Amino acid sequence: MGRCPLSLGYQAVGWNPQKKRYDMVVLSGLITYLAVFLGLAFTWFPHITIETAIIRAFGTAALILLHVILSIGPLCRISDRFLPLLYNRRHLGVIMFTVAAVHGTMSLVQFHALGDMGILASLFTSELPYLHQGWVPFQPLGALALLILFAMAATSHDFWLANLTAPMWKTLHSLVYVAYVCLVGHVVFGILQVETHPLWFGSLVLGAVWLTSIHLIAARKEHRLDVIQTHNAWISCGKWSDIPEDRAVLVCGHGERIAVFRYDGKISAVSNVCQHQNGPLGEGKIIDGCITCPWHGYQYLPDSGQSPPPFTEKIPTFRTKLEGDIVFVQAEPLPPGTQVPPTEVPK
Amino acid sequence: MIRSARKRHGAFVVLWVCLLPLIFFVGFESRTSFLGTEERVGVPIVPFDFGHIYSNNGRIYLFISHRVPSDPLVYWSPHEPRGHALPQDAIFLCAYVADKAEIPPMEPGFLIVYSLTDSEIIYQSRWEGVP
Ligand code: FES
Repeated sequence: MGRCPLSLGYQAVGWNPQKKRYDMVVLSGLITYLAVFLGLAFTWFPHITIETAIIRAFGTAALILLHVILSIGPLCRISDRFLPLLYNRRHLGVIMFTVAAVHGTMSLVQFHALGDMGILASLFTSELPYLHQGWVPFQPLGALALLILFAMAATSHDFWLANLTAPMWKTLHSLVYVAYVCLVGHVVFGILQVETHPLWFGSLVLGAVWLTSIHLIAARKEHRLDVIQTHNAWISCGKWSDIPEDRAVLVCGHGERIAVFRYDGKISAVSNVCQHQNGPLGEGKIIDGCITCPWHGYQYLPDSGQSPPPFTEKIPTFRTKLEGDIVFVQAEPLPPGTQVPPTEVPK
Repeated sequence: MIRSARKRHGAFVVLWVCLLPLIFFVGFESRTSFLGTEERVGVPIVPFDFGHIYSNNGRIYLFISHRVPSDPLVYWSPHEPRGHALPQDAIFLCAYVADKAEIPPMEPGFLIVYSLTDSEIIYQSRWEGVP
């Protein structure tokens, strides 16, 4: 950001004790999983080689972690109890990439390093002779997924978010869905062609059904927020008492979401889009009298949409009014930084 | 998140929802192909302990009808293997990939399926040669 911290009490991104605890829990879970997997593998398949056991342990661990990561976003949309997981998702992503990289590197060494061909040439050509028999090359699929995960892990730091710009960064990170599809292909056309126990195939299908279901449920919920109420000049936001103190409810105005905040006996409405990197202001809270973005802590005065001096960012504001207990917000935005008198409600 | 980003995100999810069933279907179909589509490469000509030998246009294929082990390699040996280890004189013929292995015409001896993953012989059978 290159700016002084705008809020001491709202450190959404960066190391803090909570994040450290989170990482410790993830790493201990991972180590336990690997130990249990290896123990069971050597018990049930005493002739399995250590290399193969490690490749499979790390491969399955990466796949499970990817399912967890892909679950976090929609779960947060369904219930905000999961929000702490969202704020730490990037750490989980980097851990998952590391685990997948161990799987990929060991597979390269085990299956491609000992021949008379270069490792990468062998990786991309060893399955070609079987294509005419209906064989789907699963190893390049895994390599492509790993490449995407690498690009995501390498650009996960805020430095890249700032330099690539938020829309570009988000597009790059949306490729995780492509990586997931590639990984499903990698597993289905690879190991599951020989490991025919229904449990393995069934688990993968179940994972896909779970992810698809929660994405669809979340999309449905989100869709309601995105119904543009162009026919109404004023949009109902529900009872003022239903808006939590120092928090917002979201409604959809002309094209973008509006965050309607209640604070200190007042109601104000601003655009939901943070000027910094398009973070969701309506998911932030009021700290020290300012709307504080949950992503990096940029702050705005609720009644004017302006960052407190000396900062100069401005976001659009909206008129509000109270009819009985119901809060209304005008659908049409005012120019960024326009001062709007807040609507008074009982403290 | 701005509306355009949400739309892009939605497009990725739609792509995913369309592709996954296809992958599962094709993957399952190709997986079951080695579990019993005998006409796939020709008519079985030699009964076998763990599978069949087929010929198709003068080429000879091994088809494993039991469970296919991980990383299976096909060997030939003039002598019967003792235990799980490969005999010293075993000759590597090919990897068993895509539900079959094309093998060269060999003298009578023993045909061996060896799992690289498990480092042991999984199947072996007397090989009478192809008539
Ligand atoms: S502070 Fe960075 S997106 Fe809001």
